[in-house]
Amino acid sequence: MLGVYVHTPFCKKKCNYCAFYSKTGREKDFSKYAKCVAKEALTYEKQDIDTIYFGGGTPSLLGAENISQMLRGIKSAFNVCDNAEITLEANPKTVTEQELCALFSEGVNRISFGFQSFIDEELSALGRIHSAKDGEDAVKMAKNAGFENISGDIMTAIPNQTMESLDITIDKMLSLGLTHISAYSLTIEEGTPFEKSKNTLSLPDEDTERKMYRHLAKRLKAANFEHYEISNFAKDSKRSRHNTKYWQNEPYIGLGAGAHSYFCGERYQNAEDIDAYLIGKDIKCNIQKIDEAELKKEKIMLGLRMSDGILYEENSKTDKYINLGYMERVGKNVRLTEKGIDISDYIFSDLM
Amino acid sequence: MADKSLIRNFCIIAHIDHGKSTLADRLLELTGTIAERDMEEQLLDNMELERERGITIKARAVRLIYKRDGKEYIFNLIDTPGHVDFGYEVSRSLAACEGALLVVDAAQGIEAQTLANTYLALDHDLEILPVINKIDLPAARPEVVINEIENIIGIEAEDAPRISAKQGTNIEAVLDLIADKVPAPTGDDDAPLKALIFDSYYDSYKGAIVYVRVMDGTLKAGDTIRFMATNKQFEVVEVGYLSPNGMTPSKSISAGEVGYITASIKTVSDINVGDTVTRADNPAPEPLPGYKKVNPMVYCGIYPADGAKYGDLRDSLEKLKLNDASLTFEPETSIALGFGFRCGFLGLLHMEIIQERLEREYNLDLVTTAPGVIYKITKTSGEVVYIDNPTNMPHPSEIEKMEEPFVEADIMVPTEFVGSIMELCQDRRGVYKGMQYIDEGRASLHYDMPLNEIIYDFFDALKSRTKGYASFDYEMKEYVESKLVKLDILLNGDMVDALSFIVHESKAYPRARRIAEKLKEAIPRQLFEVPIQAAIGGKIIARETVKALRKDVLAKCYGGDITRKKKLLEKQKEGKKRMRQVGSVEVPQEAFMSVLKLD
Repeated sequence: MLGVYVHTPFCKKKCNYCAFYSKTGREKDFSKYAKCVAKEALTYEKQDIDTIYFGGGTPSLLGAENISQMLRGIKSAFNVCDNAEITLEANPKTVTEQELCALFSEGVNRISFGFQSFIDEELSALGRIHSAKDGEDAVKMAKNAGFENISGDIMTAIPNQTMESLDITIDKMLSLGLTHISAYSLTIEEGTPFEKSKNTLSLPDEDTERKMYRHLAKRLKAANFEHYEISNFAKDSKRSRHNTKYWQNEPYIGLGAGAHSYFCGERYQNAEDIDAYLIGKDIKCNIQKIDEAELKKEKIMLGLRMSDGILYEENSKTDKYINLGYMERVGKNVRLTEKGIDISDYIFSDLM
Repeated sequence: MADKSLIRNFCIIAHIDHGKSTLADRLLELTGTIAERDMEEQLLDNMELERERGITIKARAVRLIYKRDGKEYIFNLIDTPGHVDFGYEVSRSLAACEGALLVVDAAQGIEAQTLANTYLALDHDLEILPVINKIDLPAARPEVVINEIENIIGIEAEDAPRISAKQGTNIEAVLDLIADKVPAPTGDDDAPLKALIFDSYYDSYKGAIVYVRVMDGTLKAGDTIRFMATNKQFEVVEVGYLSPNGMTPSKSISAGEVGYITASIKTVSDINVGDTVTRADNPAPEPLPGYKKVNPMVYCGIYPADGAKYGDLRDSLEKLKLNDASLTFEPETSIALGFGFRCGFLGLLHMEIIQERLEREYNLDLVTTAPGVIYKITKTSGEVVYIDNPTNMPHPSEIEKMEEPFVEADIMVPTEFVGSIMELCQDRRGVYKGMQYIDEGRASLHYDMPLNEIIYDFFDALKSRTKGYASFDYEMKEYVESKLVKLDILLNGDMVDALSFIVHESKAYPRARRIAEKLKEAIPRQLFEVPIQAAIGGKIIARETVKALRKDVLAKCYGGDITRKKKLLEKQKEGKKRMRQVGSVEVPQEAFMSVLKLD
């Protein structure tokens, strides 16, 4: 079924590693932006949706009132299923219990906190605005507000991170009773502050980085988390239903400046231009028709991210990776092994 | 028929950048041969590459009319290539002249090629007329340079015109000098035809255009001519003079004159620079002296980066060969690089020019192998073989002795760099022959050097050690017995034929280590560890390892942005496609190129 993604390209402060489209200092535009999103939703034909995802940027920065307004707009534009998964990405520093209560009663039922780490030095190295304590408090507030499905981001390969400090972060995450964890290793992206200072950053080497990632995966699995996608772990079958659409080539509509869509067999993006968006300009760009050949490529690069894998079809390349232990067969499917995950881009590009 | 007493056949000789082409431009302009508005900088150098490098690659000729005191002089300016690789072509151009302008930079003075070219001109009994150029430069010191010319070359230079070709200063003096001092040609219009071929180029409509200097006899359309070296006969379609913009047909050309012939000649290999044209019905008893077949001295393998472009590469080489008989090529196959050509060149510059033209004018993406020379091998069976490709080297047990070509090298350097250059030459196995001081500031070093050390980034080393102040010239000398070995490179145990090369025993170890290091940088990580080994015979003398790929995983597909990630993966796939599969190892083409420059 169809999903809806809302992009909120606003942040209090840009993090040192982030290359995504997001602006700071636009607080005065928040309510206008929310109205525009609600309006954009109406441009689509009314149809059933079963996931809504507020991503960013920092959606929580807009405040409960604006988020509710967007949500109400979507609800009036689409038929939102009863059991729909409605996720809000939040920075721990930007939430209050009161606001979380309001959002919960409005229908938001899943919250995803960008913790990244529970070590204050690491958080400040990343340029995050929150502290380790803010992270802990945020989870308590969310639980008090009624949230049961709480996800958290954790990052490896942070400058000066050690195996010991990683363990402290993992311990803390596990003690918070999360149902879902997304784990990323830091990559230095073009155009970020980290890229400019990369020569002075003390980044773990490749081997240490992989060791950290494996250690993290092992500990999460030991705590009954399912490693269901390269970067994602879920407990009690609480996989992210929205993100799963991405990996399974299901359609989604993106609302907001810079949002990506995959709808009616086309991938496209709203222009990354807040000002144009605010005056109601509808600029769709990077339109690409997904034909059979493209779909085949996408199924490989997306489907193989999941532990479910993709349907096994005999070919010499796949068999080579199976023989070398980078892939394995499970039932009718084939998937990456842990060793394969480490070099997944190499394998995707080869098989595509 | 022109009055021979008014004809002046001359060339301009100079070191690179001393202003030869600029002076030629001024002469054309001043004689009104070409209107100023049609002037393009350095009109004679009409290949794009020549303009860019400021050097003349192929000889050209042009006829100028100079009017003075009611007389009309005919000046035939024969432009010579300024580089040692084209020494033979230079000598044939000189043979077509009676005089030579020796252009010397007033700031830099005599350089290695000034001397080499002057001696060549003297060998041909040309009247040498010094011209001091670039007097407009602040560093100009014309009197010092004139002294240098008199002391080192031993010719009178006090009256040499002091000019600035760039600014057009005093060019008239040069015109007078040509009219007054270059001897008029001699020769008998009625004798059997003898015309010297000094250049040719290919025109797709007219066939080969042959540039000649008539020594004796007369040539006209309809004549049946014979090229004495190749013994090929053709009927002349057109004869004429060479104007800067093309060709001006004429009824006939005769003794003392310079012009062109067309005769529907479709194969340029029939035309050899230095050959003598005569008439089939009344042939000259013997050809003009000095003809020789030029043979390539430097060889390398040239492959298309994309194997599917093999046909395009062949077509392009054939087209280049039309205008460049000294280029040779024949198909060869490499296990690593697939189908390509082993190409022969007159020298390093010639090689670079051909490679650049293939890439630029024909849009080809090339992989080239390390340049090599021709080695002479005497086998234990007594058989003597010459090899231009390391792959063909016999097994060491079958080799009685090996010889390699040596050259006589002259290097001119400011005295402060003499130590450093002697060190460099020693390092390149040079044998010291002597040194002269040209003045307080400069010395000329003489070495016998193995050619294979020169083709291997010697120019670059020379330049970097002297801040670009050294000049260099060499001439083929002889084959010398030498302890040479074939160095093989193995990737994951498989030999990569395209990376093999022949090197002196004493150089094998450091070279092997450096190549292994370079390859380690250039070969991307693979699924497994890739050992890089350098071996002589079966013996491994250097080893590096490309570690196995441990990590190639990027961030998530954030917010549903699949396209960005897909593009990255597609790019990665493209890169992979362009790699060469060598055994089990994928090798990017840059890896083959990286071993060509090791310092």
